Amino acid sequence: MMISNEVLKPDDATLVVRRVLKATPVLAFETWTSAEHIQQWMRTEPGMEVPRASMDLRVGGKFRIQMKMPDGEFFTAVGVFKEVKAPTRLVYTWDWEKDGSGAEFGEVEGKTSLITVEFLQRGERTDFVLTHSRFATVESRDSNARGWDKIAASFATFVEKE
Amino acid sequence: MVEHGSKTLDRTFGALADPTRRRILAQLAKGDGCVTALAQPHAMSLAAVSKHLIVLEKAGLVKRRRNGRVHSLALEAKPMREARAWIDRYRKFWEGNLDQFEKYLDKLQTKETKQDDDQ
Repeated sequence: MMISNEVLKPDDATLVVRRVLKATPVLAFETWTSAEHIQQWMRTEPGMEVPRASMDLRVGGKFRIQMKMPDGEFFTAVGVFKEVKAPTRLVYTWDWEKDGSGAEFGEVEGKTSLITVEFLQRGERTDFVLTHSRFATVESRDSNARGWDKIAASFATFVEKE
Repeated sequence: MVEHGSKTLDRTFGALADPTRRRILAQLAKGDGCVTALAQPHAMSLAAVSKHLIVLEKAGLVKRRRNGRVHSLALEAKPMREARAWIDRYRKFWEGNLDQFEKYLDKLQTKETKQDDDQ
């Protein structure tokens, strides 16, 4: 049985995606964070490849994931690990390189966002929660998320009216 | 994942980080307001409310109309739409990625189980 649900909060620019994985947190964490595995699974669309991936998995360590689209265009994500608590929690920044086609770290766009990934054990399965926030720090994200829900409804109504 | 209007986005989210400003926006979402009416529920001075309104204006979330001495304020939807577009792009990105991640995990597990059976 696959349970997949997603909570979208359009008004605080924080995306939360949840999944129940048929794997232990240890395996899920290992698969999520190892460069070798990433090159195998990271596919946002069919035909996409990951020619290069590097993960320096420690606080302050950097990662780089080079994605190549079927049309030859590169999308290269880079970031820094802020929290590494294997196998339950991972926090890292996320940015895109301007060019991204090179073999080494290149110039970034500077629109840094923040990703938190949690792997919580539920029997033989794992509750997986990915939070991607426009905000580059945990503090600003959390302060923004608080209390914002309540007015989201009236705001959505307004936006749809436009 | 090319983003447009990134500076606007930064201002938008900076402006939204404050609870009072979010409440002001909620009020405005119910209809246009004048500064005095906006100050009332916050037990705040007009000057304090004005400061928040300036931040919201700069972020492009609020538009001010002057009718003589009376200033009225209205919500602007465009920055919010940009915020939503940002989320939609990443939602697509992660949903696609997670489908593949799950499939790959399944494949790894199947392999492991097979190896266990063989032993």
